[in-house]
Amino acid sequence: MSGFVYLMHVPRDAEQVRNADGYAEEMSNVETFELTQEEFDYLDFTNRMFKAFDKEFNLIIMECEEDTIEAEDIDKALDIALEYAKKASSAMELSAVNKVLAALRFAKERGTFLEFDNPPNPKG
Amino acid sequence: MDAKTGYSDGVAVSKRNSEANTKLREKIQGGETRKETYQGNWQRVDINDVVERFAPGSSPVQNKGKIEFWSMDRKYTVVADTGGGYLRIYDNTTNQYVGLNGEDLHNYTDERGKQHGRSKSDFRAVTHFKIKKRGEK
Repeated sequence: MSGFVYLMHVPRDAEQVRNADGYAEEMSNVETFELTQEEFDYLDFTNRMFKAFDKEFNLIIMECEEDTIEAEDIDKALDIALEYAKKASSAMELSAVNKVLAALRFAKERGTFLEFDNPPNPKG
Repeated sequence: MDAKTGYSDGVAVSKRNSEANTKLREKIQGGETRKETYQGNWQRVDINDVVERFAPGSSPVQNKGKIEFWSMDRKYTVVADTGGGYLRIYDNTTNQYVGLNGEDLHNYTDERGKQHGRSKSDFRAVTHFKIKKRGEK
């Protein structure tokens, strides 16, 4: 299994986001949740949770791109994630869905958003 | 072989392979959709110039729906999308997408000389570049 990670960032402070002067300040204080490549591939292609997010929120979650589930969509995203989480059975699959659920719950608790950030694979 | 040829050959291989590979086909379609949605705000560039600047002498590396050019010191990756015909430049030391001079584009300076932060959508727009066709001015 690759150790490469895909990142989900959630700002910790809604007030800081509201007062931010631009994107960099919005993302200067975040909690980061990491998916392995295997987990990302599972959620994207096998489980289809990410495809459901794409369709519902007009995203295109993919490698080397950033996409955001905005604060007002977090409740709906949690509903979708809980539905797709039912498909998970193996340890890897459960780990993958639980990481997304944890990120979304943290965003809900903090009143912020979830950003997918999938940089180039450093192994090239 | 120049970067444009490497990129074009890679796109052809990806599209051929995608006929029997649903996962790859979805990646290519994702790039096409992103281009159709956002390309109006993207600057056009010559991929040969960009690769020569950030990853001279590199060979293209196929990675799912992307073709990557890595600098010898691994500082920069030029990531070209096979479906959307666009590229981004990633600085692996700062973990940020950068501009055509390797600069951080999170901020801009207005006509009065005051610095501001770019919004999320503006930052994404200025860190995507549409790849010119060969011979395009």
